[in-house]
Amino acid sequence: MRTLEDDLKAYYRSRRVSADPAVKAAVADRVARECADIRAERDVAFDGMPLSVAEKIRCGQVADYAAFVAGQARFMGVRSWLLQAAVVALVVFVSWADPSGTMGLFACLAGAAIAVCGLPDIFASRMCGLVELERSCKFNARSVASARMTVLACANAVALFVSSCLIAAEGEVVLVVAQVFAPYFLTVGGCLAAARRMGASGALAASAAWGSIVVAVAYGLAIKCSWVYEMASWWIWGIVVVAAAAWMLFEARRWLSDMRFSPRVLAFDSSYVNR
Amino acid sequence: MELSLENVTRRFGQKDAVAGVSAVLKPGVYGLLGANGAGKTTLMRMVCDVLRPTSGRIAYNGVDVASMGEEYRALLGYLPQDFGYYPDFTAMDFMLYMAALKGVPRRKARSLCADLLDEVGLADHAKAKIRTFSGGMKQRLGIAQAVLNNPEVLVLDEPTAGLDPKERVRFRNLIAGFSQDKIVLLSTHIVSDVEYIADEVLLMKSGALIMRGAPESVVASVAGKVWECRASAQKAARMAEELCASNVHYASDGAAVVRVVSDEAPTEEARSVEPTLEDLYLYTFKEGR
Repeated sequence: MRTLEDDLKAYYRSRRVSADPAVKAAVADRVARECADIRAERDVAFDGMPLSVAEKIRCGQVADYAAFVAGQARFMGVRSWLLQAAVVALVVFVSWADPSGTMGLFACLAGAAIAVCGLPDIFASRMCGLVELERSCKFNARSVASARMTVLACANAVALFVSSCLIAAEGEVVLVVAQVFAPYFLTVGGCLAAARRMGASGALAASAAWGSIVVAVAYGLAIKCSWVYEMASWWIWGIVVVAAAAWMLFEARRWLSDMRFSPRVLAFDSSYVNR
Repeated sequence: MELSLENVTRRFGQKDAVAGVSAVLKPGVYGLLGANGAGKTTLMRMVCDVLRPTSGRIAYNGVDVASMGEEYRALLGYLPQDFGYYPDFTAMDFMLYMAALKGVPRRKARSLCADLLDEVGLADHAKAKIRTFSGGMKQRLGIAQAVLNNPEVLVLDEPTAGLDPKERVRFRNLIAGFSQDKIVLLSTHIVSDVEYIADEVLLMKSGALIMRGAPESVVASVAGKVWECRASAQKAARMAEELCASNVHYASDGAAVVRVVSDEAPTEEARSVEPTLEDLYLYTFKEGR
């Protein structure tokens, strides 16, 4: 007995349109022509020798990834860039307005503040529950995180270097650069370490807390141990910068690994997204 | 085109969420049925390279997907059971973002995204913020992004959850139209979705694949175990509590007609009836089995 269910099944099967062989062949030809064009573009001769297949593939992948990294800048919030610009402007203004103030303190505040400004873009995938979807894509969640870190690192480096040049007195640029980057690396490393240990909704709060601690320590040093910011302690700053950079790279690597493999980062708080 | 799951296991702590699942999937629509906690989502996540198996492997055309990496993910389309979005994104922003992640060339992305939004009935909402969308609209947006890169393997986790009947029919039409020469794996609690569009049904229980086959053939496994009987309202209520009753409705004369899934006839007057996929589901996943 033919039932409604049988009719529905037959209807759905009939909706599957068989591909016309002529159309299929035309599409295959077009794809083959486009692939040949792409190969021709990548067939760059180097020193008169054509690239090997592996090199061509690698060049293509590098070019794709570079385009992807540049594209990520489009999707990162305008707020992050505006905040960074505001921090640079504020620190420079305060240092000019109060020339008797501790230059090193201004530098530390700039480093910590600029680090915190960019972190919401690093945590966004996790906080907004996109990690699972991103992991299944060609450029996966780890690619997204590393692309954003790359974009922010470049932008932050420019902002911090410009800040250093603007607030440093003559002949002290190198020291101020060290005093800017040390808290920057410490803040980023600590924020990543804290955020990894928190749930999605707590990552930003944990990072803000760590950033506040760095600022408080910098301020405390300026009040109690102002000699730390003096020229005589430039070698201490050098060691701190190197150690802080190493810690930051370690934590960044672990963050990227979590974004790729950890099941813990798949959970998210939908109330944050729907706010 | 072939996706093979070779003794795939995923362990969380001491518990095996997926235990030794093996299957070969060729082009067609596969419905993955199972109760909550059966391991469906974990299995789908492993197919989509969101999680790695603790042991075993998943291979595409004989090549381990873990080694294929982005080459495999470029062939995938995935709709998770629950997915988020950046709060300030409009529907078009989200589609363009996903197009960038899937490696769709930028010059083609905008027109492709616009076409897909139109296909799922969201063209008029392309510039609206996603946080203003209803549940059904978000699901449609999720389906649109899943097919953005014309994937060879499409994995949909509870795609019709939250959709009203009209939207569910629309979704079935979308999948039916899309699934030619593709592998489509969809999981759902709504048995009728699987019954109407799936070529094969895969039943999962406690992390293992316990049954597989065309809907008609798996349903045949409960032939002779589905009964209908008339009873008083009181008796019907008792039967519904004590037995696996898939349906109770009341005839015009006030008597209850109870549909029961059971190895033995519940009453002497009970008559055997044609089983459905829902009967199989209830029989397989009832408590105590």
